[in-house]
Amino acid sequence: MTGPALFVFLPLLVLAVAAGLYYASGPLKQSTVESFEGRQVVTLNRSNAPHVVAALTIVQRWRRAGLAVGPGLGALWSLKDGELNFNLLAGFLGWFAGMVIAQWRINRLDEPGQWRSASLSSRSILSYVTRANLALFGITAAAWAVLAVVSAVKAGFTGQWAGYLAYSVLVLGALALTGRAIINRPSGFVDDGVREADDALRGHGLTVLVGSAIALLFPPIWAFSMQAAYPDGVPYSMDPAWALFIMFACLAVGWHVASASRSVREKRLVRR
Amino acid sequence: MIIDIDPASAVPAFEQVRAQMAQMIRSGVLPEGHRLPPIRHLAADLALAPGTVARVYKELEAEGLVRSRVRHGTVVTAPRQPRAEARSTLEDEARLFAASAARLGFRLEDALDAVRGGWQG
Repeated sequence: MTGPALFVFLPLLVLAVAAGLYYASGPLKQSTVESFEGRQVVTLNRSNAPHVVAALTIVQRWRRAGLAVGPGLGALWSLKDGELNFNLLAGFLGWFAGMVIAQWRINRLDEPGQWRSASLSSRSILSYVTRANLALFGITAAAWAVLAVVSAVKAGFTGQWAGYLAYSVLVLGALALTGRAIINRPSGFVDDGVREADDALRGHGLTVLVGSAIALLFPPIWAFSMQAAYPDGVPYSMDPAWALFIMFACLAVGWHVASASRSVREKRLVRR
Repeated sequence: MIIDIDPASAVPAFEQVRAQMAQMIRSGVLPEGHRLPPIRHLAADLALAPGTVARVYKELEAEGLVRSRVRHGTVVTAPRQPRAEARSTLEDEARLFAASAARLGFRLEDALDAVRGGWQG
């Protein structure tokens, strides 16, 4: 990109990101709350609504902020090669980073009060994410691991391989640390309704994290499989059909887990 | 399976937690084999120091009510208290409560209202 074009592009980019951040600071949508209530089978009332609305607002704002900043940073990054590229992956990564930050922010929400209560049931990942969703993540992670090894054996430890490995470690590391923080978050709410709603928030957050991680593993899975299939370089000008299938499969499964799969709370209530 | 502590009570937090958990184990509310939450989780939930909760688990283990193993956590071991014994405990507690209510000048109806309120809470 030439100098004059840069002077036009950069201010436009800053404006676009600023507009995105302004939109991100908007109020929580009623539909978001209703969707949360339905999927997590929890009813908001006067005691738990402030806690839930505060948490969902934090999530909405940080996700939208990430979605606004991510493509901007991706475009700036692409300028280092002398060309301008808007990358959907950068947007998704920004959204994921926003969600991770939101969960850490929620960890600071607490209910003030003199009394403290605790449940004597242990909390674990299975308390909040269904076995089916964990199995889907496990399969995706196993495919990633196998392809990483196979591509290293066939094509060697290239710079691109190391780059995708570092990317994977960052995504999986963020998932593990944030997931652990969500589970370990204190739950000493006196009011049963607030405790139930807080449990629902954990389930919601963890399930979305797991689904997002599945979707975000598609770039390294795609790259490792291409390297394994074509260790001397891809002979085509376009990606082969199976590579596109990998991308759609990861995105579709990830979306299903994050947005459409049944929650642990729903399954528990059906079993009763 | 909820326990709570009253920071304003004269009874130390450690004893409140220990007594409630011991009662739940003896009455079968916490069944044999039930895995208790990790010390750090319970401590964070009750806003207590981890050392306080660790002491509770140690005392319960000394009473033979739980068993702690490294990497396996703390598990309830005590068998359920026989129904007759639990009934006797309930009657003892009721006698103490009735004496307390009479000393404070309340009638039977007031005392029953207080019990109903506590049950629903």
